[in-house]
Amino acid sequence: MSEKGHMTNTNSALRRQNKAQRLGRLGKLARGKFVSPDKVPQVLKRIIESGDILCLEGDNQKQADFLANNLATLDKKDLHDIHLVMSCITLPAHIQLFKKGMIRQVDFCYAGPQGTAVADLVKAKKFPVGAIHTYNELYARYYIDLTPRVALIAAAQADRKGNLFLAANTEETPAIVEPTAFSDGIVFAQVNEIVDKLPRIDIPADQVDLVVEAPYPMHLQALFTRDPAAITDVQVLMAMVALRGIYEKYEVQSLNHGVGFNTAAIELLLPTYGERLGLKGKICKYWMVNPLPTMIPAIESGWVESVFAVGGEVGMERYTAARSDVFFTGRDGSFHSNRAMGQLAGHYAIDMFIGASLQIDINGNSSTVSKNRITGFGGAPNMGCQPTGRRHPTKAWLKAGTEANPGPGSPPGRKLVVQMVETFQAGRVPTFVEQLDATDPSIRKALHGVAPVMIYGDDVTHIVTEEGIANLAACRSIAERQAAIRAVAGYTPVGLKRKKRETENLRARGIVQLPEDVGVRPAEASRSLLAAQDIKGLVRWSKGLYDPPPQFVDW
Amino acid sequence: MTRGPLFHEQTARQRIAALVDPGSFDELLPPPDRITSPYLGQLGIPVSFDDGVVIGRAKIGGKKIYLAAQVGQFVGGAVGEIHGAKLTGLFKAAARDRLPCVVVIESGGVRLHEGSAGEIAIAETMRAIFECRARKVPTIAVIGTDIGAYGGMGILSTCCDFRVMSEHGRLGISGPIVIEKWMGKKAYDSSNRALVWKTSGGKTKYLLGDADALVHDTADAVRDAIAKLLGKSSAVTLKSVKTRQKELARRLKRFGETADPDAVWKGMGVRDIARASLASGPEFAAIARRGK
Repeated sequence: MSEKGHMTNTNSALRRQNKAQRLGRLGKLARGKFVSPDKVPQVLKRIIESGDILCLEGDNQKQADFLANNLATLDKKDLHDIHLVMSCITLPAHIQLFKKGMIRQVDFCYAGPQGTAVADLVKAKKFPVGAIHTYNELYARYYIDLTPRVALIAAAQADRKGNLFLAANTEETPAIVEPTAFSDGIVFAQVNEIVDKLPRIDIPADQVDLVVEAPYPMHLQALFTRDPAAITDVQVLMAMVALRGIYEKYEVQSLNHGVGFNTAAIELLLPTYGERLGLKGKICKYWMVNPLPTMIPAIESGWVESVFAVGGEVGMERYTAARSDVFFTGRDGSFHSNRAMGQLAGHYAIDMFIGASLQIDINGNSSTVSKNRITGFGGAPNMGCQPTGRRHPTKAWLKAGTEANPGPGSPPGRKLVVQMVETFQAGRVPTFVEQLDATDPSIRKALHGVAPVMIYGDDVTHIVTEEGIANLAACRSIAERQAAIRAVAGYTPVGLKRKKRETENLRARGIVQLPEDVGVRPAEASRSLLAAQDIKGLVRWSKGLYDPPPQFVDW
Repeated sequence: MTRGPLFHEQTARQRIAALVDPGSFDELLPPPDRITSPYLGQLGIPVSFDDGVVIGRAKIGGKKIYLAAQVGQFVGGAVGEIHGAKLTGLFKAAARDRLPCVVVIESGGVRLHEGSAGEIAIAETMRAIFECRARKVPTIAVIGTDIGAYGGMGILSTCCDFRVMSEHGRLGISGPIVIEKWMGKKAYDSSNRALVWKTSGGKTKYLLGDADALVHDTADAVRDAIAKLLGKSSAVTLKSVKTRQKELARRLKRFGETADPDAVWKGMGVRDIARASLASGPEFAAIARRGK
């Protein structure tokens, strides 16, 4: 889907001329690289041209919200036929651009908080989507056929030359700036403040064309903060089952955790239950994960060798700086993240990806899309998949590979891709379904025939529920995989269709394992096993270095 | 690092089992008796066989006591006619038998579905508490859950000789949402959890002298605090009431116009707010004392 339009036949000299023309139109609106906040709408009108590929920085955490809000004050007569490329449609301002009819096409990854608004736009045929991508897939296309003409980005600080400091939330800024700056595109940065000297330079000034000091700091979402007080006994049970049946069994050394309460429970069991099992030093040493507050007890107990992250987490700044032996930090000592590189690491260099989902179908496909809420993917599919380009062996990779009984033309190893879900979501909505909502014909049509599946069933090796573990990788046929899923699907309609004899057969072969089969006594599963039972407990573990966001503070 | 269950997460029956001497609890009007609310059924609302409060006789450290624990999961522990009558009867029995009476509170106050009956029941229970106090029978309220003690139960708790609180407990008359509704979000933002706990939570109540003991969030800690108070009682005299009135007037003068709850902590002698915020139970009490 090449959408470069008028740029296809433009050689680089012309592109450079065009950039000079755009910047030339600014006249006195800019002093060197610097723009005053009230001039931003006029500046945007002059540097963006109708038909442009325009990149708005914004993922599930960090947002160039001041620039986005200003863009949304413009109208179709100012700008139209924009091809919008961006990770996450998150802000009301983003939705405004569609409502005003300024967008010809959009290519994106995720629409979390605006999922309902996006579904409404799709129904109203006001959401001309190219495709929903995974993060790295979209960043890759920035270098191929979706190179931005203009990128509106966000940084923590700029100095007087226009060098940028990105603080803890480097995230996707380099992946946007590089393809734009090296193709004579325009990079316009909003910054929280302009200072004389930066703590460190993350983006050099010669890749930055314009800078505005925004009147309010960029929006940062606390996305990975899970209050241990909300973890249930059932989630503790699932965590115990996963620890014994997967982490211990495969000796998982390197991994990614999703953002849910299930995996938070696992993190909080490491210093207690994990320690008792003698697993310290054997599992969970290398992490590709954001600085999860619930990892603090495991880090403080010496479980974790290193953590690389795709983004920061609000409140973890002082803690991560103080634990620079575990986290990646800049020369200034503060936390560093990189979304594209983190996703790459999560794709190639980890033994296991474990996450949750809203719906799993009978073949193991999962999705977070429903008819009334179109969300998308983010990074999970970059990690929750089999990287067939991988060549280096690890214990876990080889063991999972052997179990999957590789054929003469397949890799010897397998990444563990684990889905960990309760059989029912809140409100008695079953997690297991015969068919995903994502396969709804209207959604497929809007997405040019592609159903938005988060993780494909063929990539999943295990499903963990409160009922037990289904080892899909060890199944020898589609029918067997379906029976294994039914066996752990509990009292959902999918689960009620299981046949006792089939389940017993799978259990005898170790493909289905109940808690007792992996040495877990359900009666023992209790919140009191958690190393911290509330946010305050995490702060205590951090010796006061963790500063939780206000909505989590009750002291 | 494995800890026992947290008191504020336990159910009423778990709390009782963890507080009293093993096997010593003898429940009065237990669920099999099915003494339920006559009103909820008429409104199509499910009833509970204990009407949201568990009462009975028990022993703590070998000493006989009467004990009640409210069930927060049932209508927020709110007091209806039966619920209130069980509490009244328990304190009357305590006065009659001259045995200490402990009530573990988890209630927003009167049950709106049976408001008048609930209000009267609470008034009758207060009268029974004062009967206990007139006879020097110790009465102890335990407040250690997020629901806390509000409305009529907040007042009732202050009629008792002593209040044992944990940092999770909250004590007040009007709940945060009610205050916000009357005073406006600017004056009191009920979604600001830090503000809510700093104004009505156990630590602040302990600093101000409304709570007599501040304990860790475990049944063991609560039991130890109760055990220490079982032998004590404070009679209600005209002099004691007047002294208390003077204290309250002083507090109002000192902090009545204060908008920042940290200023109250500082005023009460807490120097290191951040450290005190993270401290729990006796550790907090020690920090607060050292500051004075």
